[in-house]
Amino acid sequence: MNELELLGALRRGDERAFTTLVDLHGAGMLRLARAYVRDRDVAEEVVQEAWIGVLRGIDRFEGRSSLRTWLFRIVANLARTRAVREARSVPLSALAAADVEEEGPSVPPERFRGPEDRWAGHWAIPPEPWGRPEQALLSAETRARVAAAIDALPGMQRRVITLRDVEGWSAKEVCNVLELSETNQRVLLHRARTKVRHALDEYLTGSQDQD
Amino acid sequence: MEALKFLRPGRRAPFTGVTWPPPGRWLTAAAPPELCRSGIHALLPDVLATWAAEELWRVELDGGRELAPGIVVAPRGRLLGRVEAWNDQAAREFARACVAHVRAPSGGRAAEYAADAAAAAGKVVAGDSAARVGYMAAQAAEAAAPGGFAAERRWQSGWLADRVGLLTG
Amino acid sequence: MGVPELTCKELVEVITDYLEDRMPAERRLLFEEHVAFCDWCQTYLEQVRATVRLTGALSEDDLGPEARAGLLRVFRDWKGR
Repeated sequence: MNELELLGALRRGDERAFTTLVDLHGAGMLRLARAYVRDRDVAEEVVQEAWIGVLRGIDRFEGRSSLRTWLFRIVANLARTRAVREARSVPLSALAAADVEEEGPSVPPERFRGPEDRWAGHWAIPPEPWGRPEQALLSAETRARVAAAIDALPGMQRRVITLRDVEGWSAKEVCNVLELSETNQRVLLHRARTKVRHALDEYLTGSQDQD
Repeated sequence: MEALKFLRPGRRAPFTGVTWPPPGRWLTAAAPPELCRSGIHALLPDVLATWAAEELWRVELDGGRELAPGIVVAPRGRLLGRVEAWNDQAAREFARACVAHVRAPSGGRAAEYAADAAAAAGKVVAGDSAARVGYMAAQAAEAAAPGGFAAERRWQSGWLADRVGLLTG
Repeated sequence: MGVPELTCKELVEVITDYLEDRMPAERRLLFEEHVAFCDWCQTYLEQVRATVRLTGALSEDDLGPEARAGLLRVFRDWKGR
């Protein structure tokens, strides 16, 4: 069934259409919710609320966006509200540390030669090749490290990399769901990927940058 | 039209990571030719030095246009054959030639760049590592005189083309 | 230096623009001219690409059976309204 047919069947109360949608999008919706509220139980509540909202609103859905975009926007809105509510019980200091979108270069400046050097701007401490075949990189341990690195990202970076790189969405779709400009989305993606690469690099080469 | 292409070991394209099919089979780009964005890219001899990598191939382009100095882009292309004369030995000779050409007995910044190039030349093992020497030597030429970088690159490309037999017959 | 070029430090900042194909052609050319000789930046670029591939391979957080059963209840409640 294509999206239009699924939509029609769902409106008619077809249970198979509903479970198809859940199987198609449920995991992604949960991942997006967790990119806001982290706690798995809370995220599952958000997703359940989202499905209720979907069913209630299904007759009003006009099809101006794709069904998927609509589903995920509902999740994003609910998750955002829930995250604010959850945050009220979290100490302010923890909040501030978690979500400040920082400025500054992605890679520590000491890694490059300074402006007085005749090779100014070139690597002073170049990246070490990981020297591992792709198969080894895909091990469960390495994937766990990537997941942990994503989990540690500031909120908006986490959401963008989750939708773009984990879920494989296009930039346009992500901008739609998260209500970001194309440029902002790219900046967030850049910072997220840089941090995740850095975490992977530390794990794979056993090195530590001075922070 | 015929042109040239540097690839990484195993016919791997350096920027897209795509592996080229064996010689004779056409590779078609997914989108129309656009400089550095889409299309099959290849080189004319006068820019060879900038792009030095491990493997040098002759290529045939179907409908190539020069979209940047020395860079031709076409909707499809195929490898014709490997330029076997470009090997690790040639790469080492290339590196030495680049260094010798910018030796600056008078000192100053140009001499510092030239010395860096010479040090790097000692470590060249293959086409890929020779590329850095060429860059450094060209910077030495630029330090000696503005505009020297581009001129040095042209000289390097000429040396390379000649050394691997592209300029004869 | 008088030569138009991208340094390694600049390159790591614009690497996502490059991968996203949001760079004008002239800058893409400078980017690739740099990567052509700079094995260090080649390594960095490959590592960013590998990171993206690895990120795409994550697949935890699939819905557990209780969550799925809970959603079916939600659906049946709605249907019976």
